[in-house]
Amino acid sequence: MNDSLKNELPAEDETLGDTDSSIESETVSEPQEESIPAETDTETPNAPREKTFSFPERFTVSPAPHIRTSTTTRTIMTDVIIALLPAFIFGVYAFGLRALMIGIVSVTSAVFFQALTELILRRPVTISDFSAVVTGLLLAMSLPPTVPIWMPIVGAFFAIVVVKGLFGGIGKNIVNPALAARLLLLSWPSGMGTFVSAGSRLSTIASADVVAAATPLSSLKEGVLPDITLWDLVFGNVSGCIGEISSVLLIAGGVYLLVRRVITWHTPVAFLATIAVISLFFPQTASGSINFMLAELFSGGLILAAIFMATDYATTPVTSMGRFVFGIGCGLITVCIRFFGRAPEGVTIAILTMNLLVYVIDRLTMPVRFGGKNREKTKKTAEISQKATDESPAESAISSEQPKKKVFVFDNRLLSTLICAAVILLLYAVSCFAGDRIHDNTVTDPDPAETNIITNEILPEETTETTTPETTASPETSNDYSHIQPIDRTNTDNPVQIIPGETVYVTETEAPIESTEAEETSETSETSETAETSETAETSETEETTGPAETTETEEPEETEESDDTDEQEESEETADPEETTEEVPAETETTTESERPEETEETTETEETTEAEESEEPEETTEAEETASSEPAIL
Amino acid sequence: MTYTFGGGIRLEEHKNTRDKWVETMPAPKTVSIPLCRHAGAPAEPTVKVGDAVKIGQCIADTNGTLSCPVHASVSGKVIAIEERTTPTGETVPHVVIENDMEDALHSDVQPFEKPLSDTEPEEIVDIIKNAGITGMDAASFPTHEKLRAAIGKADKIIINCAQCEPFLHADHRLTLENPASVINGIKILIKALDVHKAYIAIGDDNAAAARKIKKLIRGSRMISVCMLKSKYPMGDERTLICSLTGRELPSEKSPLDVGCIVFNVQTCVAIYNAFAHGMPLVKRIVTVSGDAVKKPKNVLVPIGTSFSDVIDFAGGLKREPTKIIEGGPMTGQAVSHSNTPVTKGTTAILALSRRFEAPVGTPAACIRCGRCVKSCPMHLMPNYIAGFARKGEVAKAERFGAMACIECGVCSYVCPGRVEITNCIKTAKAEIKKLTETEE
Repeated sequence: MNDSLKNELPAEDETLGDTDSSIESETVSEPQEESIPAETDTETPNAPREKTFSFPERFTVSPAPHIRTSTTTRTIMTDVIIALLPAFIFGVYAFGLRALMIGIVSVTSAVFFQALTELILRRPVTISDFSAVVTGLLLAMSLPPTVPIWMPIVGAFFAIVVVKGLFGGIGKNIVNPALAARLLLLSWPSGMGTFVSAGSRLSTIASADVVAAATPLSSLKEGVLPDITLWDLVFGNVSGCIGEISSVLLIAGGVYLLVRRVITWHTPVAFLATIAVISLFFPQTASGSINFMLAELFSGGLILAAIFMATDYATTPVTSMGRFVFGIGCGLITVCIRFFGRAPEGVTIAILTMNLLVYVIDRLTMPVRFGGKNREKTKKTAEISQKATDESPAESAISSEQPKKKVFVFDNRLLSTLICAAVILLLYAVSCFAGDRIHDNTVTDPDPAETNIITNEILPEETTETTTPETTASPETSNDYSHIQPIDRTNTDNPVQIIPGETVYVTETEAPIESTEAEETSETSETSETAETSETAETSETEETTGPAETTETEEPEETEESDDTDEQEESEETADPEETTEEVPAETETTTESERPEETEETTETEETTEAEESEEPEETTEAEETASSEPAIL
Repeated sequence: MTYTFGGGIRLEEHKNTRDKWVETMPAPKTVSIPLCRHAGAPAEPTVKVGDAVKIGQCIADTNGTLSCPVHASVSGKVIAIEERTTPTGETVPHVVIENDMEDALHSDVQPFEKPLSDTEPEEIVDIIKNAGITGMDAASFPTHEKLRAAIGKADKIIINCAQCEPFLHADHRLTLENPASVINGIKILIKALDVHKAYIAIGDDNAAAARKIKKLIRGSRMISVCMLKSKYPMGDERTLICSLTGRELPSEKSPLDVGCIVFNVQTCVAIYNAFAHGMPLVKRIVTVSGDAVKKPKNVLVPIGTSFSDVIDFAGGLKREPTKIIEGGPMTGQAVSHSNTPVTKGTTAILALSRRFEAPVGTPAACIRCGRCVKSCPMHLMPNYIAGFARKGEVAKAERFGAMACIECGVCSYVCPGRVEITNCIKTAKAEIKKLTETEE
């Protein structure tokens, strides 16, 4: 290049002389002689009088393209910060200045460590791309407001130095820095486990005697819907981490990012939809599958993670299909951990796990190369290709092959997606079994004290808290969870009213540790009861009375066993064929418990009466069923 | 109905020459005509220093493959035959002619006598060869070779009027101002190739030209106008064929494999000029634009005019350029000096100032945003290929489809991390080619 430049320099001088002569003809003749040597010596002489610039001595010679989009890493990161800020500001509003302090400390230390790492490693300092700010902000938003102030510093160090810097800087880290740091900080459960309810304005100095409050997720973990309205849950009047409580503001931020084309819809939609679908069909609480689904979606850090962390560029797939698969995988693992794991929150581990699979997902969802499979677009181009095939026999041969190939292409993509899904499912199954084992072994630990507190003591407190003016505003809303109150035992005058509420709370107060199991058995018992009554109502006319009685006796132990194993069954549901009974049982309980509880009891009494009227042996059987149902928790 | 393909991006158009009529530039004092712009060997000069030449006179001839004769674009005296640098950076012999300002036509410039209906395809190919016509895009493939290979194989002609790069409007203007020549050129091509169908592919932002052509071809079943969605890189051969026929051509196949042959609209008009007026390819329409040019315009320029002369004709510079680009801003070549001559493949001359420099801030780093994957018209994963290329893992780059890259520059354009993805892939492609050659 330089050689050619040198070769051409004389020629260039000629041209420059030409240009100057053209100028000269317009202006004065004298400057010509001065300007020529000036051009060869200095870089950019120009003729200011004419406002005509001459060519510089050297041009930039760079590879194409010569224009660039205005979007840079910095503008993207700025957009993310803009999208995050409303939710963070709400966190500050809800939890007080302490939240703000945590945010500032986290962001500052992240930026500081970024600069420090790059200075030590002698890389160019890149704090001006704001990626460290995003990491710090995300870390702060995923911490509870009560954490000791050293925690965000340690977290920022881990995120920026270990996870990001040592892997080669921005874009090279393989796991999400903020989430990895959060996972590290979770090993100090005392600091990370204390949540306060929204509105408790904490001062900047940590006070030891904060009033702990249950997060909605920990209630869900116990099989109880959180004792707040959906309104509060969505708008953030709950306890939780600083940035995760206000789902509405987080979603608004996500919409902003979508509009700015910073993120694509694939991951968040796949992530949330997976969780929504699974929790809709397999509710873990005794009441209301839709309510349970909404509670699952808006509790904990799910929204924050799905919109801002599962879309982190560096640690997610680059293909659209891959992003979709990634989202589904995150959803499955999250559900698995939330339903069967020990910790209430599974989003962190879910995303971190999927982060490790990114390269595999990218490879498997690699887009079909242009012309790779000779794909045919049929819609708009049918006209031309039709004419073409009419004219040439060679082409008609090609086009006759194409339908087969097209199917193959579809299969190929589907296959890769299926492989991805299989890998994820396998992983998820393994983690489930392992989680279960750990769960079983550690049940006897004195650890459940925490759950004790949550189930027994805190709930009343929370109800008292929700009577503060902020939260009592909407008791009549249709999504009010407060209608699912424990039923007073003294009111059980009606012997038929053996409904889930009672058994649930009986078992809870008696044996809080086994509450989940007890609850499930109560579900099954109840459902078996309803099933029986309906069955008997149907079959009593044709079959003998002993028949249904026997079936209830034989069926119930089976079902209780199954209910113990529902963990595994639900988890491995897509791989192994689930038994129809276990699928249908929860479904029935959903419908009955959700909407028509009083009606149901009436119906059962009606059926009893009718069966009494019709056949004399019927009452015995129903009472037997009642007895077995009511006595079951005692047996267990 | 507009045709389109998957991938690609919409670019800011820079329409400043969109409505400028093509102006004919007076012949400059000297022209420097390169004897080679293509893959083949340079043509042998048939004139000596000191010879007097006239417009249209053959100054260099060749019998080699992938090569074609060169003609004088001005009348005057040959003052030098020397090695100079072409816009692409190669050093090839140039014939330098001093203009005598007489604009005398050479006696060879005579219209073809026979009517088109009596003409044999071979005759047409010979006319095209003797007129020195090459594809009037950056590739500059000799048109007669292209035609000869296509006789009997092609069954449809596609005329590419989809100038999809920003700033470039020369083809649009030509189609709008001279639709009759375009259609006449198509008729000659139809005759030469003995096909029954020709498509004029026009971007939907140039609907006026499409209307004019439709008016002229009314009733014709052989020629039809197809509107293309205006996005980049619509003008590329493969994406164009994909848009029109729905058939995706893999990199190892040529358009002829699906019976298509694509001509640039200016090539088409040049063929008509050679046939009707006997005028060889000595002038072409060039868009002179860029933010450093005072009066951006479309200019009909004699081949061999230096870039600085053309820019002077366009009013000179209004600010200092950092880059002079031959061709569009997405695929064009940044030239190293302003004395570079206009060649048969020069679609545009752009003088871009500092404002178009990529903002220099943080060092280039891929953040894996996936924008390049989403917008790659060849459905590749450019970020991975570039990553492998940077690490020297050429085999992996090939496995990820580096050879299918058409070097359109979309990935580099959209990259927020300012990684020179296209350039990395180009390097990888060169390496792969070298490896396969050594293996063979």
